[in-house]
Amino acid sequence: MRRKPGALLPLEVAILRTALTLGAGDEGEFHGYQIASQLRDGGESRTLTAHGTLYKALTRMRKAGLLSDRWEDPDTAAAEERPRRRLYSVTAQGVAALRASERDQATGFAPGVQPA
Amino acid sequence: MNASRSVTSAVLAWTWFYTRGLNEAVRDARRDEIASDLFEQRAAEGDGRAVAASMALRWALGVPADLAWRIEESGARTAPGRVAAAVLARGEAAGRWASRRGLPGLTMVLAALYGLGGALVIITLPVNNNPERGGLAVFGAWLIVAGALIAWGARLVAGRPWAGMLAVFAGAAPLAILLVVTVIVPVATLVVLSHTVARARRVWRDRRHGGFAAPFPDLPSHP
Repeated sequence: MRRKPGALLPLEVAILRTALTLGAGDEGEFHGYQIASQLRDGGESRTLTAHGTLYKALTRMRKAGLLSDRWEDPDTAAAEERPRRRLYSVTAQGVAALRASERDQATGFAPGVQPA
Repeated sequence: MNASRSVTSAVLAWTWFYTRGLNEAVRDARRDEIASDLFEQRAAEGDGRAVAASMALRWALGVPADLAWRIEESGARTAPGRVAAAVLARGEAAGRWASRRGLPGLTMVLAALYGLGGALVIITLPVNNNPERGGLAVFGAWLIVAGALIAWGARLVAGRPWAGMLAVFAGAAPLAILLVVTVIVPVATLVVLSHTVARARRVWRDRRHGGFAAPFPDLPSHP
């Protein structure tokens, strides 16, 4: 099985869907642990998504233009005595990719993969 | 030092290790992001042993993806690099599968890895020029038996807790000691053994209260 160019993996679909439907943090932004806990609480996985799996997926999605990111103001983090967060938000391209994936699923076309 | 703090230090050390030598911005971003994640989890869930186990599980299941990410970011185009990336992609898929299923998934991944590893060692013996082929054959057989014991014990523990625990321990513990330098194997083994003991204790508790434990409480029921 080989991944179809531009198609979404199940984890990517879950991240986009969770970020959009469960509602992320302020201004629709979320950080890594936040989306992992929402994936678990929303029933997408039984445990928190592994660090490597989660951040590799977020990197891939950012590079594909599905997510945008920014590092929060260091002063905010310092004031709250915690490491600064990398905040992600779903882009218009991410929304479109999710809708296309859901359409494919509804019509019975297996998204995300195609025979090699 | 409590357990979750120890796991935090171990994950940060692992992150430092696999990001070494990368582009500075990429390296620092990954290190900062993992540090933030670990902090947020402890802030949200506390410092208990369950949180430490959860953090260790997230670490162990993510190692193939960490290494695959490292290969991608370092832009390795060599044949060994491509082979390693392909192998790690399978490991990453196994990690995603186990993440969705929780600890029973990790147990089965560990059992499958030993079984497949043992089969690979034995299948490649005829083309292996290593003079210690006899020892390799024994090691391959040991891996297969260990995988079978772990898988069998994990299913048995719901009905016969002592026998199930004994089988999982016999399969997993000696290899964890032998492969202690890999770090990932002993960590995964500790998580699997803790999970097995917790399942056995649930069975005993249910029996004490006169109930019957579900044969496989961690598996989804049929519709």
